[in-house]
Amino acid sequence: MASSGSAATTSDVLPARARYPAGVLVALAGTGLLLVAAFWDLAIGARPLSASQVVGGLFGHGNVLDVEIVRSIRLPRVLMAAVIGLDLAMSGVIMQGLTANPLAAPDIVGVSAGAALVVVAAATVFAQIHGTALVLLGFAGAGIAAFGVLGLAGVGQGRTSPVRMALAGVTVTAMLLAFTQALLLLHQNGTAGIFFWLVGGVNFAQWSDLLVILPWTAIGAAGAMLLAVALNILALGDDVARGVGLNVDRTRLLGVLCVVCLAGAAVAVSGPVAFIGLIVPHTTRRLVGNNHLLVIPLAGLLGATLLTFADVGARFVQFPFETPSGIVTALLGAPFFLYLARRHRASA
Amino acid sequence: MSSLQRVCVPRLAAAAASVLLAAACGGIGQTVSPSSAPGAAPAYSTNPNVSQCGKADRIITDANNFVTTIRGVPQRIVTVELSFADDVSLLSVSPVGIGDDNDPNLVIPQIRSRIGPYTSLGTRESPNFAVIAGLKPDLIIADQIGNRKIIDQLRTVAPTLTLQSQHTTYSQNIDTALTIGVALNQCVRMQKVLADHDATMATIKAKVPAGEHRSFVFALSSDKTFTVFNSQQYTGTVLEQLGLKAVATDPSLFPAGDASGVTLETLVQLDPDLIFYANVLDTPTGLFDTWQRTQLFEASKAAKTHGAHREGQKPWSLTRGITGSEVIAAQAVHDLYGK
Repeated sequence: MASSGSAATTSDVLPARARYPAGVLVALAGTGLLLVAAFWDLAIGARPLSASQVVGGLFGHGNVLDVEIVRSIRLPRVLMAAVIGLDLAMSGVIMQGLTANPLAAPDIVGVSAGAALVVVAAATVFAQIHGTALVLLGFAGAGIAAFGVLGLAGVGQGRTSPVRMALAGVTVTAMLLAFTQALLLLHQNGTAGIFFWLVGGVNFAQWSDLLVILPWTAIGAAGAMLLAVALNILALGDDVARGVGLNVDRTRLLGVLCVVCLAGAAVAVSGPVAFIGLIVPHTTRRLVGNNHLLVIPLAGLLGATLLTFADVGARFVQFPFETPSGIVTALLGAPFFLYLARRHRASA
Repeated sequence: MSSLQRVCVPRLAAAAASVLLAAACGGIGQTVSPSSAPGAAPAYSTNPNVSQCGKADRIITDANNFVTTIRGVPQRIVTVELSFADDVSLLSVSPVGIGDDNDPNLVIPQIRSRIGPYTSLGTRESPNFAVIAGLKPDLIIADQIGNRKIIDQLRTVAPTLTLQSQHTTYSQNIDTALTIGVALNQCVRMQKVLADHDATMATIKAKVPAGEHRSFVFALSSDKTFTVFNSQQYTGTVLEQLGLKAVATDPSLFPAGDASGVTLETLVQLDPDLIFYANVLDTPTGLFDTWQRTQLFEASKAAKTHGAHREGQKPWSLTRGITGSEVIAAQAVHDLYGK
């Protein structure tokens, strides 16, 4: 955020290219694709339902069983896929902006590892913790991990940098993963089903989970939009950003807070769905330019679309039984990551 | 395999095995299990180990087709899986070391009462080699699947038999018990154990009304997932001994030796008459407990007939073994018929 006392105004320093016509097209296409994905996701399941039965079910008309399946099982799942996709994609944009690292993802501040450690600990050792309490604890784990990373990176001491953040993130994540693996190794009896969750997915989404995650999504998304201009300035580099009056440390702190709200809540509910936070921000930038005012909301839209399609794809792996949608996103994301890494090296 | 075959084959197989054991061990008469049938197919004649009964040096072919020579009578036996501890203890031998995931309560009381103090090996999948070596075992019994990565290392410590425990069926488990009997040079005793077991199962099954053929699933419910076990896994094959029919039979949908994630919608669509489930770590509440409060579940056959039965995780999904099957069968009959 630029301080009001700065000589330069934000419009003077805005570095971002914004392709507004492309943005409108992406918004329209993304919305259309999201609707297609959502309807497809609503229409498939163990119980065959026609399009009219699905629509009827949404409005409470038709066979009671069909209505219950659409409203209680499929609808929360579809909405959860959209919300989780939005959360992860938006937080990916923020992380890449904060760290000036095109390969950064929300995981880099330890949110996934923090939430995973708490959930695995609950599954294996503190088995009395479950349901909404576990989701909130997972969220807390994500937050604690993120602030651990910020502490190690020196945020608040005026010496933070993208490299320090990345190193701190890698260190904290590795440590948390080691603890998680130790728990899994030492408590094999409690691990049934936990590997499924660790792959990430929305297969068992419930309305209660959605109600837990929505407020954090709203806070995180609003915060991200408020930070958009500051992220544009930060893209010029720390020194320039400081030169135009941006409080870099505070921006990073607020950015990580947004990431915790978005990705922390998402991971606590759905597990660490891979690569959404990496693929989508890049794709969005290529389509609409670098202006975070456009990139953040459109990445959210495309993230929602991608994860909903991934959930559809996951249904076909061993239909009608469940496969975590994280498998599909990983299959898409791993080659994409390699492509990015090669492209980055070639342009370096 | 038809349901009739499912019910009969293991029993016939046990009977045939008894005959073979009796013949091989010599001088033990021709006693067969109560339900043996004359002319029954010698299902265990393919078990090459039966021919080694009574020999001082017994050449045992394990589940990996690895050949191990066991000399004399092993005294210090280490069992990495609970079902092996069960089988060994039925021969009045107390393992010196057991893989119990560092939790003595993992061993169900029915088995615990037969064994003396033992040393925990740590986790079943990754037992502590230093502890195993320190126990100076003369025989290690390891699991074909769970311990597949450490078998070679175990063999450096002591003669090691790799047998089936995880993803085993009821009849395979009886076959495993036979091999353990040969390995411990207690063929006659194992024959008696299997005959007693057969009688116990017959007694339990006698409480089941004629014509019982309700469908069932057995599943583990955690806070995050609901995993259904297929009909080739141990618990399902035991319940099929009672005449119940597993729903999860299609191997293309329920991969053999694996468990599938199932949503409430899929469960309602499968619509089994009976749902036996255990909460992971026996927690008070799991995902399925939440599902049971939904309108959707109330439309299922299991809900309408009060066919959902919560069981303990240890006997139903972790123990396996001869005693484990009796506990599962007895509990199921108690739940279903109050007997």
